[in-house]
Amino acid sequence: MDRELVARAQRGDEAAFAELVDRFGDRLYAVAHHILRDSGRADDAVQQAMIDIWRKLPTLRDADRFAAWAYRIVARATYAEAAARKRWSLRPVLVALAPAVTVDHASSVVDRDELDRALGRLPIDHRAVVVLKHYAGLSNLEIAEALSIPEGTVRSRLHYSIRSLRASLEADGRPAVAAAEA
Amino acid sequence: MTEFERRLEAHLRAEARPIPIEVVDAVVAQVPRERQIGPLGEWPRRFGRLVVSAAAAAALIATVVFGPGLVGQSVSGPAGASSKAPSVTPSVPPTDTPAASGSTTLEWDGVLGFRAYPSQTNPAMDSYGHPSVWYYLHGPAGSRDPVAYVPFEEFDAVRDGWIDRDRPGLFVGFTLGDDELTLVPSVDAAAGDHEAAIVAWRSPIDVAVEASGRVEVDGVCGDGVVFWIDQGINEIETVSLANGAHEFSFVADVRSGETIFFGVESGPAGDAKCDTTWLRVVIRGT
Repeated sequence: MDRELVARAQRGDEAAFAELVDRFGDRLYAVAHHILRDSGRADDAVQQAMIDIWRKLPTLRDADRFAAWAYRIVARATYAEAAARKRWSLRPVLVALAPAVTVDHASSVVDRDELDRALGRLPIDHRAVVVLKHYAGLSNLEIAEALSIPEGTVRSRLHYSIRSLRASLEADGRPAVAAAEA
Repeated sequence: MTEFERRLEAHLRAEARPIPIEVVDAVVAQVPRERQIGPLGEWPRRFGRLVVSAAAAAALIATVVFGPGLVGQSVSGPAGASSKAPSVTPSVPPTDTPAASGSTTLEWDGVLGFRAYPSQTNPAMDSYGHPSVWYYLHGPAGSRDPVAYVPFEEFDAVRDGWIDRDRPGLFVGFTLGDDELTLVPSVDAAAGDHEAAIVAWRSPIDVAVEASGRVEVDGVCGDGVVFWIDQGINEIETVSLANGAHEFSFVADVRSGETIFFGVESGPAGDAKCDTTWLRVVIRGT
């Protein structure tokens, strides 16, 4: 991230902020969309987050930490958006597995769908950790700061999430394997 | 990194959606109408940043002239514990509360009472303008003695919470999602130092209260926490919480200046792992 660009936006330069949105918007939006899994809600959350970023920029003391700070605000906005609409549970939701009849595990489409379903079953607070780690590339410490949780909790949520994702994929794959073997 | 994690990262990259142009347009259009927030609060952009809010300016002047003690509510904390005011947020005289006019129910919400960066104060006023209602404290685990409690003095702006430099991990702050407080006790086994994280509500008036809430511990590992509620030195409730959540409710008659403490300390084995605890508390008085 361009430190000078952030500093200019901090001083109230609207053009510099527009440049920041242009450079960084896709990554912030992807984080919100991965966490919320809904385009409409991601639109609202990111719009609110970006306005918050603009308003609070002067309080950011270290411009080099802009990325982690911005992810934090986006994560906050996604949680707020989710809470406002009350359309999901904070706990894992076990959806009925679609009957798998003839599934080729070499198929990337099927592979992608399975992983996507598995991500959807994670609780939002675990999914947020996974997205910030494996999409945004934040360190555990940065995730802890972004989500206001201890670093140990980040590690435990990552561990739980990866284990849960693997288990979900195996559960999805088992009937298909059985069907293929039959 | 494992093969599975590489596959996960590739999936997240492949499925990343670009930001819709309408969202960018909406943000860019809205920015000129939005004021930025400076270290002393919101300022009018059109008049430049030499103008700060009258309240902040008054606080600043009062700090210079009278010293910080008169500005930030230098008060006796619970049971005489002294408290410094870490911010320049001006004190506001209590407004006329519904109770004062003898009418409706008062409500004190622990989350709404928490003042996030850059407006953090300890103690914090309530939404009716009563100063020094919410306190963020720490004290020796097991003591259950308000005399031993100490107000946090340092605030972590990034995590939005109160910390103690000598006890890494000890934390009372604001939970993402804005609907819970986060309390993390600390354990230094080598030093034998177990510290409880405490949120305290000090009643601004004589009132009968009905309180309810929920406490939840991160139950992935460790030996859980002990959560307790005391009215002064009198126990209201103590619960060992190894996993999951516990809902609580109680009624109490409290006098002005009397304090109810909500504390979290490490579990019986002193295992500090996964002791992060989320607290929701609402106190209603009539």
